[in-house]
Amino acid sequence: MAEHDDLVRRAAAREPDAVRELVGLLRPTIQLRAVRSLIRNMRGRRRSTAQEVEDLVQEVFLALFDDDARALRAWDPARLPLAAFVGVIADHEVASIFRSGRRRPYRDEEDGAVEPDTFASDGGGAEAIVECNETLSALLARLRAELSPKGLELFHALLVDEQPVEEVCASTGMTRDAVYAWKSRLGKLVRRLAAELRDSSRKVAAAQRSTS
Amino acid sequence: MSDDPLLSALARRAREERDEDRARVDLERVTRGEVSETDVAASDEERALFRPLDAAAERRIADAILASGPRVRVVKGAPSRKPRVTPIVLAFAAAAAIALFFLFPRHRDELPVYAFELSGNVAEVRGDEPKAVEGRATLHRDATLEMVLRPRVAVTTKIATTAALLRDGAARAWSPPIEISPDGAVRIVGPVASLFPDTERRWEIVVAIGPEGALPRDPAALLAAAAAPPPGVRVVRAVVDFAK
Repeated sequence: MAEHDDLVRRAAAREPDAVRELVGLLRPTIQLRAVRSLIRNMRGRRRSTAQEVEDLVQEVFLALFDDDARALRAWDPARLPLAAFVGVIADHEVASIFRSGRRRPYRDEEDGAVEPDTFASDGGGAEAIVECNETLSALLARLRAELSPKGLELFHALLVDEQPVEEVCASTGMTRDAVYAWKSRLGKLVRRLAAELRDSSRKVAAAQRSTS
Repeated sequence: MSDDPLLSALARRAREERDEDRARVDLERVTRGEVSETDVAASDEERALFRPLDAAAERRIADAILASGPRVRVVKGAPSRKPRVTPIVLAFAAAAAIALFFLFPRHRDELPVYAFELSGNVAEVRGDEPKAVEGRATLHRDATLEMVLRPRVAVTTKIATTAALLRDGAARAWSPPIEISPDGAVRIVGPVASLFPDTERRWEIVVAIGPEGALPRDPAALLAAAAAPPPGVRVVRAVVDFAK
């Protein structure tokens, strides 16, 4: 795992040869994360282009090198392989780009997250979300954009992979209390994002009703 | 498994999405360069997305990284003075961390995305929004102000700058030391005490960057341009206060 330690250090210092080598090394990982996100976000609305892929990949690389390469320097070879570490950052960055509208693939459509009538009835709440894959995907996209790479890593470890807390403590070096605090924080964040998604959907539905 | 039904459902959906990704494992091998795209059954659109970015694209990305430079520039306290700072002043000096981030169009004729960070606050402005960004900082009077506006990718056209200071609605010409690098980065640096006419109260900095012929000719025109930048001109505004 430590084989790229020196390369990352030199690239973070902006040695041109090291930067080029690192781009070649990480490009497949970042491109795959960008493409997965593009496919999930497009959902058949329109075609994506190779140019969009390149733009997203470049944005992720620039984010890695922002602020004197702070994100890149945060890599701990003892904890995660470089590609896995960068993959988590790429997921967050790409989701943030789509969420902020900097390169939203469906900018010409409504919120882009859910069908406007998903929450149209007064009773539309958590049940409506839990039962709808499209809405869950939209919520996941918002979560990826909102969470830090560390939060994303914990979301996957604790909830997606259902790792025991002890195992997560061992792999992250966090205390049990810190992990439980994160679990609670994740729950609150998801509920807030769900409420925002519901409000956004209802506003769009109301606007559509008023214009029809 | 979580007791929270929403979290559980979200985790389930994340696992399903991961399975959907895994179903495209052959295409992902194309991206990794492990197999040729002709060896995989796929639509044209899929091929376009999963085709590995070529060497020219990787070179463009590396060049963009090398041209971007560090994003954060810190306002440093003047080391030559005898220390007489209190903790609260130190806090102000730390709060005066100022960073400007400036993005020009890439290799397409599209409006740029701007990000502007000042004292930890980041504002991002899409190309289809007004082309002016603003920030705030509190400066120590003994500090050195360093403001860097750096294009993410090198700017090939010749650019110039014009700047003004604004207070009480009146603009006056401002001529701080300004360096423009060959790749279009703009750097303003100097002691706070000498950069500003006085440090009694707030100043607003307005800087316009663009082709020389397109820049506003006087402070009043620059002020107007800040509200509605002319084509090709980028305007950055920063409000600076001074630590007591």
